[in-house]
Amino acid sequence: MDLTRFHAVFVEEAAEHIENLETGLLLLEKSPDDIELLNDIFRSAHTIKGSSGTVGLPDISRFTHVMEELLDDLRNREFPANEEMISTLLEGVDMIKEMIDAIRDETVFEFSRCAPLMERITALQGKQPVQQDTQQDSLQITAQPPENRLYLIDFLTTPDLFRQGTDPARLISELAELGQIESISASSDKVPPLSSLDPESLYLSWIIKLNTNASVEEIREIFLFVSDDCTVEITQLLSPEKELPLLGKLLTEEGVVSAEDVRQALSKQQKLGEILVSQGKISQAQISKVLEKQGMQKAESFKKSVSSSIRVDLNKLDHLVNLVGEMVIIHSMFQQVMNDFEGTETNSRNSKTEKTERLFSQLQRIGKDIQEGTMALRMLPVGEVFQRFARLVRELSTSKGKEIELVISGEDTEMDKGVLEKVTDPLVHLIRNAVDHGIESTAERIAAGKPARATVYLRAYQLGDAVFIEVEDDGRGLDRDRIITKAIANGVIQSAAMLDENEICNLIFLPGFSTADSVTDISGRGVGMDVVKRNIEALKGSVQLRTRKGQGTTISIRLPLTLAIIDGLAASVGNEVFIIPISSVVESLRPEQSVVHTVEEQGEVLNVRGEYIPLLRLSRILSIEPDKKDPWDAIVIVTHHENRKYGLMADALLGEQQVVLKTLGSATPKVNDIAGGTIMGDGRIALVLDIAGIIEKSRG
Amino acid sequence: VKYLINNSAQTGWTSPSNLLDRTKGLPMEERLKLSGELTICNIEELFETLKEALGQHQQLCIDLGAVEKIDTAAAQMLISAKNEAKATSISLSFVVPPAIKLWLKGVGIQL
Repeated sequence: MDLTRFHAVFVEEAAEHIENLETGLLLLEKSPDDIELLNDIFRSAHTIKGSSGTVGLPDISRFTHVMEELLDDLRNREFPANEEMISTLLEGVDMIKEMIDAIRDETVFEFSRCAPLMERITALQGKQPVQQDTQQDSLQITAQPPENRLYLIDFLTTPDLFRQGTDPARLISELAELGQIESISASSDKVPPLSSLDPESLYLSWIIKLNTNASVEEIREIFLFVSDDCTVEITQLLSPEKELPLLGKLLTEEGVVSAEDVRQALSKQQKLGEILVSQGKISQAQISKVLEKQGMQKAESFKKSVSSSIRVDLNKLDHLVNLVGEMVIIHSMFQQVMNDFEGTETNSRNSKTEKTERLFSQLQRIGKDIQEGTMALRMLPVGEVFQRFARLVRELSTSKGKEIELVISGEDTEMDKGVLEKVTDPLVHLIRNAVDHGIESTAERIAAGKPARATVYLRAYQLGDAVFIEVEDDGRGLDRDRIITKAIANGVIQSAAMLDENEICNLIFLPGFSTADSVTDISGRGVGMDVVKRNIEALKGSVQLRTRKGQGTTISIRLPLTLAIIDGLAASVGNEVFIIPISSVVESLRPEQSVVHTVEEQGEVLNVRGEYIPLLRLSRILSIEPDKKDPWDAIVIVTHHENRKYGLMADALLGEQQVVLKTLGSATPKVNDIAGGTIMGDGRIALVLDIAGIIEKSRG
Repeated sequence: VKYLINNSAQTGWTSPSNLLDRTKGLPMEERLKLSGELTICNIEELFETLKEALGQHQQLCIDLGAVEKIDTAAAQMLISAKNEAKATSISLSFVVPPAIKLWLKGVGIQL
């Protein structure tokens, strides 16, 4: 079988792992004890080894194996990583890079060049150099038989299989020819009782564990003729010797027992560990140590099996999202045409228009599904970013001499990749703040009767059309009085008399504000929370802060699910159409003349069921001649921004619609009150209002 | 195609009296002896035979001792018969010779 067609994929995939190896090794130099990091490095090496073997590149596989062994020793804490090891391993990474470059360029790499380096790496392990054949020196040779692998085959049949003349038993015997069927079970749940059985329908499905040196493709070939109707899922499990007697393999590797001992013990079908102890081959302590390792490996293999994905160029994805956006626009246009149709031909509605309408609504539904599916492509679980923070907190807590645990939850919450990338920096800031200012020193905590070990919670969840990310600490909370003193000293406020608790806390989001007494290397330079706030607001999100003195602080970030397509309310002012994002609309109403009041120096206000809200005339803010001069003739759209309501006055409401948000382009200077533009169903251009900007502008 | 299922019409059911002789103390049980090849080719016949047998007896033992060959369709039907028996509270058992047992094990089917 020709495996070369997989080489391009391998080259691309390997690049990422090589990068990971490289940065990992560099980090390892700084913290040689970081087991998480070592695991990560090991995983990358292991993946390179595994996938190179799979695509028929035994040289890379063999070379990486030597590196992997050294890494494994390091991981098992047999000895700490020293500088020499790290630089040798880095040399190894360079060597792999060269080999991979050779594959990409389709040139020949002399494998003998690896030999001296392989020897040096092996020497560092303190073991004998591995037997290797340096005569075989080009990449084409495949002397070593490929390793046996264990596959889980989920064979979901179609009822028609018998009628097509296929007996699944034949497929199973063909599978058996590929290797060893370790276990097979037919699921008979769907077989009905005789009275309702169709004798020529197949109801059984199979789950098969196959131990073979064949590739997934070779297995798939067996199912080739049935693949149109049946679902065949093939998953590679860990290699058999790792999968089954993991403890046994580890014990053998450690040199505690021989492989023969393990096999004998296994045949007795008791707990392997107990038997070996009772035979006096090892002590309970040794077992516990290895069992611990087994747990770790299991967790790892679990992690590995979780995600299966392909890599797609982000540009391609964005292009697709754009196209879907265009489709949404065409849909709106079509809708418009359909509506016009209806208007002119109400009495002559025939079956054709009805049919068209039905088809259109189907098309619309599919379009919506495609749109959602495409948007989902851009979504990533926040866990990928969150995991980094575990390391950050660990480092920070050590450098500050505080005992802090980071509790992460909601890693599966998905967010737009673009948003996720931009939210990382603010999160780093918030977490640093929590560790540096939020959490008290251990002594202080004990004096306050709190547990010495502090906790920082990092959680994410989705609520409606928004994703919330919260950073919570169980530290000292914000000091209200210190904020006030500082704010007055900085001239931010004159007195705190007018401010409520919430407003005082939110003062820390103002530029140049820091309550820390001393500037530390972590935070306290006064450029913090305002930057966080600005970054989040740039993502159309908002930041909220809750704090209780002595109990802790929670900062909650609200982010929209996506930025590209929004639900909007179309409203007209004069001849122009504007879109107001539905997410900030509370209600729309036409006020009675009696509820519109003018308050001196505050402008117009509206009494909405007893609540006074400021009335902002869009025509005035946007400098457009309105059709309606008085609020009681016009329409007021009540919006909310930062916990306050504002009534926006427009001439008329045109309806709700989904719009594709487009930037106005680089030629337009940044306008605060406009978030972007969109093309309406009738082909007109409408501007999408930025509520925060509008409110800002109304104040100025 | 070589077949067949032995049923009462051809080589006949083993008569109740015979059964009494061999399996003392289990008078109500009927033994259905199947033989030859049980495959998709004669699946309808097996279907009818099983339906008939299950419709007539409260206790039934299906004897596969003389079966030379079986395929998935037939094996599935035996499972179906078991399900039927369960649903109608009939006690059903199987006598499976080693060769068939091995085949069933090979395809992961449990009777």
